[in-house]
Amino acid sequence: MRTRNKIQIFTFILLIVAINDLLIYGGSVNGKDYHVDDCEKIFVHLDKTVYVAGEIMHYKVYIVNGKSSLQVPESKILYFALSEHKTGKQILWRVNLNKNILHGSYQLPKSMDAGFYGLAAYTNRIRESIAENIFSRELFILNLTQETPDSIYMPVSNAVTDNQTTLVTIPDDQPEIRLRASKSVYRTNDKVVLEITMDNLHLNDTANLSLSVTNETPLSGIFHNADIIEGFNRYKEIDSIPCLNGLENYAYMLSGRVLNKNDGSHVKDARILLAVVDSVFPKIIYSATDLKGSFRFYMNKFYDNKEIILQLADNTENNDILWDIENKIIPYPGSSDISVPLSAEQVASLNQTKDIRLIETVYTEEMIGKKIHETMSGISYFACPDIIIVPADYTELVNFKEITANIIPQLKLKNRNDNFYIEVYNDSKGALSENNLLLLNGVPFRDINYIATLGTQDIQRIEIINSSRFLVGDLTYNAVVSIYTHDVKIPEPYLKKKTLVLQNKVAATGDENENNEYMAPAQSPSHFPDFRSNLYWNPDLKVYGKNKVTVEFTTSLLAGKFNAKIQGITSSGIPLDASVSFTVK
Amino acid sequence: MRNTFICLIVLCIIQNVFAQTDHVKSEPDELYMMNIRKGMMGIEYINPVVGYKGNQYYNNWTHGEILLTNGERITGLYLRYDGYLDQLLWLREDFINCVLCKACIKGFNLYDDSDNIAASFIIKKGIRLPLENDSADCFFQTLGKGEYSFYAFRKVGRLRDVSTLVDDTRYYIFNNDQYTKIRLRTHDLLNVSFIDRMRMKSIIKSNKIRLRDNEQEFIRAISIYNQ
Repeated sequence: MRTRNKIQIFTFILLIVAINDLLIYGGSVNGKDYHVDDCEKIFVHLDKTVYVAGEIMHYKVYIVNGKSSLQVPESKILYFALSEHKTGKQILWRVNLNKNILHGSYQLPKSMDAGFYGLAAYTNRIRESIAENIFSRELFILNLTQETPDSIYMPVSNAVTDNQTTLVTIPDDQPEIRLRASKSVYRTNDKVVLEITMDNLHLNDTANLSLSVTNETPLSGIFHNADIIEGFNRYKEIDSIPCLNGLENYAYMLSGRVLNKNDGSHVKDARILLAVVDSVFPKIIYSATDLKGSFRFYMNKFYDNKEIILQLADNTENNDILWDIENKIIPYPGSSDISVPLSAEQVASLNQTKDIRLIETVYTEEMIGKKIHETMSGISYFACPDIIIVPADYTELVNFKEITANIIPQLKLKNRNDNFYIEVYNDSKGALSENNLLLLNGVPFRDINYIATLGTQDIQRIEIINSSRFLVGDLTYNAVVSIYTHDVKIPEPYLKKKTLVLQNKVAATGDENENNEYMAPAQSPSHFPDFRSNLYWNPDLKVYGKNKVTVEFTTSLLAGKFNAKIQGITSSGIPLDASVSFTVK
Repeated sequence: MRNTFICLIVLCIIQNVFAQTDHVKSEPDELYMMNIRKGMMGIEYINPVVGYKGNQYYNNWTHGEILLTNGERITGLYLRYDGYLDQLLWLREDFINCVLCKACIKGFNLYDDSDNIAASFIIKKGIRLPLENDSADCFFQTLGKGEYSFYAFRKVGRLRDVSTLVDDTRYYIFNNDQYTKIRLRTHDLLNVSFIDRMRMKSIIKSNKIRLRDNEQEFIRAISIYNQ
């Protein structure tokens, strides 16, 4: 009897433990199952490691979803942060993620200081995770207008030594990549043939690869850059903390806080309107602050590379408030950096890179053409206007007062204490009201004194919605008056006084079907003399099943040891890496 | 033994509480949707036929979702379709009825109490309506989808000189870019230019379909024809 009771209790305990585990790990958020190891792993392959300010950095990004590497990552935005180790200055840019492999380029600003930099790539989800899971690699940036540094600041150690780090041993039957050069020694301006073959790649499997061929410099020993296999395997598991925070799985999140300028307190329930200058329709987004003064906008691709104008829906000026916008940067651990002197050989190598860049800026034509970006139509909630007026159809009128008096009887421009205001007649209410949404070139605009100066020469068209009230979020306007000017501009003083203007820059990424390899200069008659240190870059190489791929390019006039490095991933998510060296005499 | 057992249960509860806290920190989809919903815009709805007899609405205020032309989807809205104006109405939190801009909507779905789609509408562009010269963009209810699609335009009309609204639903069959307006009659269906008359006739006969004024049977006939 006692044995039976024990068995029953034991079974009951097992049941509780099982239910408990289900509650913890089988939890789902809105029907989606998340796991501890769903945090994305990122690897970035760069075309080289030494750049000169103003040069274009080419890169290929490999991103997998934690251990479920076949899944396309949920994050839709990838951030890059380029930090100078000495000053901690960061340059941030972002790209849109539609798939787990993408390539793109970024033109380094010409004003960048020469120095040793760290490039980090992360999603917002990883940004709020732990530093070890953020992809990072080191590179050198020179500036043609600055002296080559004779010492560099660099982190004490980048290696992850924590015992929690997962190191995966690759089984023998895993796909492997082989890279072979046709010769070990080439002459200058000689043809190089590289052969890429795969072992153990399944017939239906595809290897997506990127290949860079650069010269080996005395600086190579300074960089502690991991290859893709090491990079993916050094992923650090975080016990019981799901990697969920700040997941940008819909669109770019523009978030921040509105604070009182005087005491720094939160401005709660503030209505914020986000707009872009547009000559066709207003494309406004509305948000409101919560108790902590925080707000958030989800901006789809329509707002990419546009100037974003934020302002409060009431008449608040920037003198009264502070915009605290979340900039998505990662904290820079600069305190651990140390100064390391460079050898004479290393400085000479850097000087040579600068000289080559100088030659290239004089002789080389731009290699990458302008890309046509995918455009997304913006949503305009503003229905067909009730009245459309094109002032050019009428006799010339010098200011808005004359326009309203002669052409638009529904509008009244009035003056109170030397300040103009507009009243609009609402058809459904049968009355004039001052509570209107006035838009100038698609942007909410409250400076009626400026509007009063506009005549028929300035205004392209005026659209009015006055048959019913207009609802924006929880705001209600009596009518909408939308003025479009010929210059499609918002006056600078207004922008400074009442708004926050942000540049929503998004770097371009390559199309899968586009040919992005570059190696052309040696074959181009216009390029002379050819001293390329980077002989070849192809971010979009593919090997199917047991096929082999060959790539051809020519060496430049630069002699030395060169290294061809291939990085990639199979369609089943296995990282691949191979390299081969050859000499140019 | 009993003490151990109690301790184990208490531990499990504590563990669950902390596990839930982690999930609270997450960025659930609902937060995104709430943000989008709060930012909706439109024009206040003014009923043009107040005091008329009859009903101009396809449904009472029901939960629904709208699909925007830019591919975004907004869920958890209270929606109503006005057949007289052919407009989609949305109920704002402060109970103001609002007309959503037709130009930015691709379609909308209405849900029943069990959260199943009760009706699905899409915008059909450039539809030529009877007795009208211009074409219009109209909300069509999807009744059958496939190579041959069957739609209902839930129009509500007004009797001339009488303050009465009447149901004036019109039915359309689409095949790619071609479409035709039909009445719920066998004769009309068999005379559709892009439908194989003989095949449809045999479907109607073999499945004993009675088409006259029967929307459901019409849907069935077209669905079998699509197979």
